[in-house]
Amino acid sequence: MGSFKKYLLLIIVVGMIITLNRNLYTFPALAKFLDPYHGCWQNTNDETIHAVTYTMKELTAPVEVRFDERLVPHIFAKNQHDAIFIQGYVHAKFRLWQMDMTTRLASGRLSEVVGKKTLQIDREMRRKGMVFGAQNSLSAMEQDPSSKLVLDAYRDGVNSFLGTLRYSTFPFEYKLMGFEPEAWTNLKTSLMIKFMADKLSGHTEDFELSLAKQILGDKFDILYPEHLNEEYPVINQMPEMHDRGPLTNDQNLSNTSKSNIKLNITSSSNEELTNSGLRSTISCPDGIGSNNWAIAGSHTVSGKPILCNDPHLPLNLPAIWYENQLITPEMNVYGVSLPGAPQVVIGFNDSIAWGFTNGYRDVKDFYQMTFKDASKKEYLLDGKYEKSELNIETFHIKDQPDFFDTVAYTKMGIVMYDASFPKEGFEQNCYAVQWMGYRSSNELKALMNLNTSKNYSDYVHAISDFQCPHQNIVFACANGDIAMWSQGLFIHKKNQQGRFIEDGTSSSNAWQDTIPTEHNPHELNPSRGFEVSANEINTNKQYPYYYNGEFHEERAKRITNLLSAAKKFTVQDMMNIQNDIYWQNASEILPRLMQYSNLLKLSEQQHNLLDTLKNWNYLASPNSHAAVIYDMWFKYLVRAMYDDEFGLNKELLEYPKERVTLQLLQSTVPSDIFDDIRTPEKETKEDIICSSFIKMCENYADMNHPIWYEYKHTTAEHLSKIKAFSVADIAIGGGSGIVNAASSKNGPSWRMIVHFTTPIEAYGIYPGGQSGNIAGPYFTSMLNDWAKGNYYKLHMAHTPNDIP
Amino acid sequence: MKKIIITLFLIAGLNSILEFFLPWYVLSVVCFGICYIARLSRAQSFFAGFIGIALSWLILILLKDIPNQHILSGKMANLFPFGGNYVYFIVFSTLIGALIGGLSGLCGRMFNGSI
Repeated sequence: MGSFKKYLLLIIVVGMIITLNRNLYTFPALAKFLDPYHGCWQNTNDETIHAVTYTMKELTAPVEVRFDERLVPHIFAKNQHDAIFIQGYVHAKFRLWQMDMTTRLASGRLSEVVGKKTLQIDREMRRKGMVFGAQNSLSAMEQDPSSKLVLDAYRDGVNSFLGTLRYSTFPFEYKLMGFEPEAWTNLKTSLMIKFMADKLSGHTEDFELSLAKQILGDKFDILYPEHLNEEYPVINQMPEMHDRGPLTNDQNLSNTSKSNIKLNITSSSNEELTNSGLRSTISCPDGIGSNNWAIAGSHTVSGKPILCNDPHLPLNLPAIWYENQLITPEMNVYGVSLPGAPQVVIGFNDSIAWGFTNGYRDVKDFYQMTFKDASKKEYLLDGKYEKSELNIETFHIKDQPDFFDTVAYTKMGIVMYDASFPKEGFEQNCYAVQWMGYRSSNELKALMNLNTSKNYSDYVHAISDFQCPHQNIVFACANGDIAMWSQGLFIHKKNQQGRFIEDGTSSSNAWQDTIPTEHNPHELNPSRGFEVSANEINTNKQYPYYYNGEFHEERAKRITNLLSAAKKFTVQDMMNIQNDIYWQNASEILPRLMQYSNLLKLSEQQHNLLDTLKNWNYLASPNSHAAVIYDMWFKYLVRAMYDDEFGLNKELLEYPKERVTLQLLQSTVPSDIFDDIRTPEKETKEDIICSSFIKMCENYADMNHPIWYEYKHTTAEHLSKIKAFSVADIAIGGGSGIVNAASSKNGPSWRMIVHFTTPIEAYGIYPGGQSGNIAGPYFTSMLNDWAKGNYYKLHMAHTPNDIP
Repeated sequence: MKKIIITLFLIAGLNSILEFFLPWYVLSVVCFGICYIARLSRAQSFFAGFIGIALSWLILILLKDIPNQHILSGKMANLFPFGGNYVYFIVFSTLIGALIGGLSGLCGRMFNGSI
């Protein structure tokens, strides 16, 4: 009996050890994870470092690194190879898990470490050709010797750090999720770059616009115009196009792309039209955009140019950027890099500074395909069947058997949506996708050359390699030049080609020639003394090529107004503009709404809300009540205006741009849009504005008089989406469509100001911290200052002793 | 009484040394082995393993947590259902090790003949 008990106890103890030593579903291996000698407690080690000299055997000479007070590394190396090797090493040291997860996401390999719940995300990534595009770009990069040197050095640097790891020094998240880091490859670097291209140019409105056109009829062109009445183009001067090809295509309307294909749409059924809850009614992806501008010395107090950039991206933790300086005898560049890719992406050197905003020109098109049968082996093209190439994608899933997915590659594109992976609302058909990101482009080389550019012609040469995503690349030079290029590789399209889903059975709809890079819209030293881009339309109507895209004018209008002031600007002015919270759209829309308020018999509560709005200065400050009231009113108005036209397809459509609604409110011509087609009465503009006000008041009464920042919930979300590691409800003003574009999940991801005095004066900040370690003080060390609009002076070092 | 205290400090000390080189479950071997030799009562063996490992873990946890100003333990106390109170997370961590230590000590004692 005694012996039975002891063996039972032994089995229990061994069983507990085995159980507590492995992850169960999403639960960490408790004892292994909590063990203070190896587990999570080991991640609390102080990360503060100041000076390190690296002497790995792969280096040609020792590399001296000085970390400043924010843990920004200043890397002093004898050559490019050594500098990039150490950049890879420090990226891995501080951001390894983030690099790993981002490239897993990009390559559809999340399920390997997360489990079945991410399988659909993985399938989407593979089906949209992320790996295909990354491999194509990788081959281009590896064919270029200078790019290959950088790629290899970066990979070796990351792997050199990986070689130092054992379980106790694994980044925290590996312990929590129970997997191990794997070796870095050049493909992963390529995936990282492609991931950004997808984030910035991978969204397209083809489905939404095709559906809207079909159901809205005559109203379509009013709600989704290609041009707004009021536009602020990025580029106002058109380049001379001496060698431009024959102009037969575009202005010839008979050559307009005919998107008369029949959509088989399954309406999202059983959706109540009068539903509750305010979901976002903003048509643009909430807050992804950017601002950049450059001011000529003639408009600054110092007489020297100033360049500013704040790209609006997801406010993730760890932050999307990593700040660093790379110094070799041939290069001295400061700025932010993407953990997972070498070189500096946005930054400056002793001669030039540059910055990016997303261009939003549509470089992704969908084609409706006709297959012979469900096997997808043959598809119809120009009246006969062509063989498709069937690729079988394998997905390893944690704790589950592998999953296989067959993806058809055709001449028209990759078949992203089909019966096994249908597009919501378009389940009846197969759609192939064509994207500029599939081409073998070498954006890394563009960055390498930008990092060492000395003047305008170096910059123009450098960005010629930048093909996708389309970016408005602002430039300023110590010699006084300022410039802007709307840069990318574009297809010479027929009128309206690619705006809607195209017919994939005719090769005449396929992408044809590209537009020569020198025809891309650009300006050098414009007469107005500044360049600005903020995701607005790229060109005025003189530009001869057709293009479409998701452009927004409100931030461009505001910044243009501010920069047009008859004054000379300082760095402080630039900081004020980057943190500007004037709500341009509200300032134009709200007066249109208020003019009918006298038509209402108001209760006391309604009267108070109206008074709050009357006294509002249109500043979306963190503690504003008026901003909340306006936002709610506008959202109810938008729903009242469009939900009846959208009917059952509401969930599949995007609301018109705010400035389209503004145009309708401004118009003195009565419009049918305001009539609720579901009621027998004929509603007018006044009726709809008043009824949406009443509705807003009713719903506002249920809320606890919220202030703006609590209402919009600006959150820096940890990549794992775990709340305990995220920072919610950051007290920051601004919002989507405002220059300080801190919306719920996106915002200014790197605010940079470079002033070409001697020596260069530069400031920057990003929402997060240099270290990705959640257990350390550097994880969110800059977040509060970022929310307050503070900046750090950037140490542009020339020798190690320049770092305090 | 003296023998219990010597045993548990022996466990704490030996485990603290060995865990620097070996995986966490070496604590089970330490408790098993020492309690096998010590021949305390069953309750005493469990107690020696439990408190010995609790000491070995808690001291290191505090050496990590205090300089860290509870950044990690505070976040973990939100991830685990401890309402953000880091003390609970420290106690919980310690208990996990201590429980296995105690059971291993008891098991070691039971394998050494009759009581």
